[in-house]
Amino acid sequence: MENIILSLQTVATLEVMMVIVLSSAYGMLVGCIPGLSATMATALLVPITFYLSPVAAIASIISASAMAIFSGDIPGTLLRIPGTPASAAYMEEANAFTRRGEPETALGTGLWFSALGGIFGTVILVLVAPLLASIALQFSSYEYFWLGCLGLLCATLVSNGPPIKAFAALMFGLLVSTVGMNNAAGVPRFTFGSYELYSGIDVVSALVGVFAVAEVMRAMTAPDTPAASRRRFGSILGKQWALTLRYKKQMLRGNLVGVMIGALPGAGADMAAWVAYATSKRFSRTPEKFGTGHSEGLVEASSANNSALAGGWVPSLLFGIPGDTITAIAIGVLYMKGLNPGPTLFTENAASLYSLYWVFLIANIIMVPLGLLMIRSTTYVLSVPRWTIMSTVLLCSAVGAYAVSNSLFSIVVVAAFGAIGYALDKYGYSVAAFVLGLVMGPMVEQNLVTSLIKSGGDVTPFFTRPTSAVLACLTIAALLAPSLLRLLRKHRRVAV
Amino acid sequence: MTLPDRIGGVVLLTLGVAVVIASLGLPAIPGQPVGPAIFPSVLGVALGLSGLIIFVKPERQPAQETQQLEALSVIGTLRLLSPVAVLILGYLIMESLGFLVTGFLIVLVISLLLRGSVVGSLLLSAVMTVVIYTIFASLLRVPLPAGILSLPW
Repeated sequence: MENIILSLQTVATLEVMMVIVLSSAYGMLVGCIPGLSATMATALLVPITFYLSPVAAIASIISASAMAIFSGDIPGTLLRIPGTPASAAYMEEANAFTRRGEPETALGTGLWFSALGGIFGTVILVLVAPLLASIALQFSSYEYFWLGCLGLLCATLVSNGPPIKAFAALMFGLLVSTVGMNNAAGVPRFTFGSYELYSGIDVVSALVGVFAVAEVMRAMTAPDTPAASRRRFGSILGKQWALTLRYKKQMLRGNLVGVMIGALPGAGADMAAWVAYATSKRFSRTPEKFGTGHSEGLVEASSANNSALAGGWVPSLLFGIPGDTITAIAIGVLYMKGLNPGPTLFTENAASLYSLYWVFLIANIIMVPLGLLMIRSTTYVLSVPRWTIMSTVLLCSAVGAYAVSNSLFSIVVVAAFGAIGYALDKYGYSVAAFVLGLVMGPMVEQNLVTSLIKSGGDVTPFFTRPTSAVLACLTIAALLAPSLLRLLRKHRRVAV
Repeated sequence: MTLPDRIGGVVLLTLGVAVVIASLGLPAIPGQPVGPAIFPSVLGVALGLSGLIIFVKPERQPAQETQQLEALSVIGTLRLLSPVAVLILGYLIMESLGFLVTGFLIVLVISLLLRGSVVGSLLLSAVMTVVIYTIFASLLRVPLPAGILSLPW
């Protein structure tokens, strides 16, 4: 109780409130512009969070990403171009509303169910996190090592491309994280004699490169996006309450699917939307109406992608294992601000943690008025030409990386990782797996080395401690799952 | 077309082997069973193996993708790499020319490459450089390199 009041006091300051409103507006704008994703919005925000108080820093990430995931629906609905990948799943459906002349219904659904989904996700986070924290308190380095491996392998299993390529991307990401002197012996590893690499590769610069510079590179070869025609919208939220009552089952199912997929490492809002839309169609009484401007799937998928966002924070706060690419960035900020993720966050830093819950709630509530404003002014935002946006993004990437590391060399890191990110994506190597490896590398290595030193080089404690054994089995199962599934399928084909 | 995967596989395999060899040369922690070499060695082996699998069993790219790959001409490749090149050039001149000049040039080049109008690009470059300078240097107190030009605030 004391914490609840204390946390409200930390949130209800001018700084935090201003940060929430400004980052929300920023998230809305970035999400609405095709080609700029919610992850990229977060990556470019990190340099600014560097200069904010801990709660304000996390608040800016939470609000910007929530708004961006919603506002990605807007160009999807109006132009059939998803603003963020999370809106791609139901873009056709939403666009069918526009062709029928009712874009306001689809946009309203996106807004209303995004806000409700975000709030649902927050409630789950509040309820589940402390339970998991009490379990996690008993973990030692052995368990954390397996947990890290399990999280990383999950990321390869849920990726879109072939698992082996995601696995390779993951290993490469982990490898990049080993560069520098940040290891048990303090010796320089893979620095190629460059003093700049002694402190390792700055994660923020690398992420800005992967998510922002790679996008500018893609813009160089992609055709221009068409401009939206100017239109006036009717009542946006008018029908939403009726839809909520009619599709409450779909909404709840979407919320649950969202939270669960969000919590899986490597799978975020975009995956949640695809799965929820497919589930909705599968269980619908009228699957033939899907794709023709039918609200059912739209409700379920919109509910899912925003609740996934909150779900992603569960493993991030508890174990330091990011649930998606947005929280992968956020974890870096948590460490930077001394709010190290882990179960102790719930005991020692409970007030800060509670303030994050408040921020989630506030952000999802102000999403509604801000979203209405955004929808009404969309045509102006979408008529901003792409060259102005992309050139600004490139300059912001360079300055942002410099601001975090205070070293000009980080501009080179940004450029290099732009090229790496572009190449990985182009040839089907999962960017999400790569990023997860990059972020989690130090944690996994530290737990591995600490455990081995504790046991004197003996690997048996990794398998004989009860929790550790369970996690080890799960990890090995996750590693072998793709090959086993393939064998099984082949076997069945032979049998037929 | 399986060529990209063949090349990717070889690159990953080579990288994996190189990492393992380099890791073996890392010093151990005196008196401890493991040191800084263990983690990268494991990664190197895993990376090399996955590279080998990708090389041996490349996936077929859809025909559409193949066309896109071939359509990427010399000019297309140069355009694609231009953001990277612009950043590296920016890094080289930032120290001596300062942020305002470098930032202006970065925005200008990218705007023009993305077919912005000349007047518009010049205007945008000037405005954006000043705005970003104000946010980072004046408000957030980031020590941006001053070089040959600085603003009064």
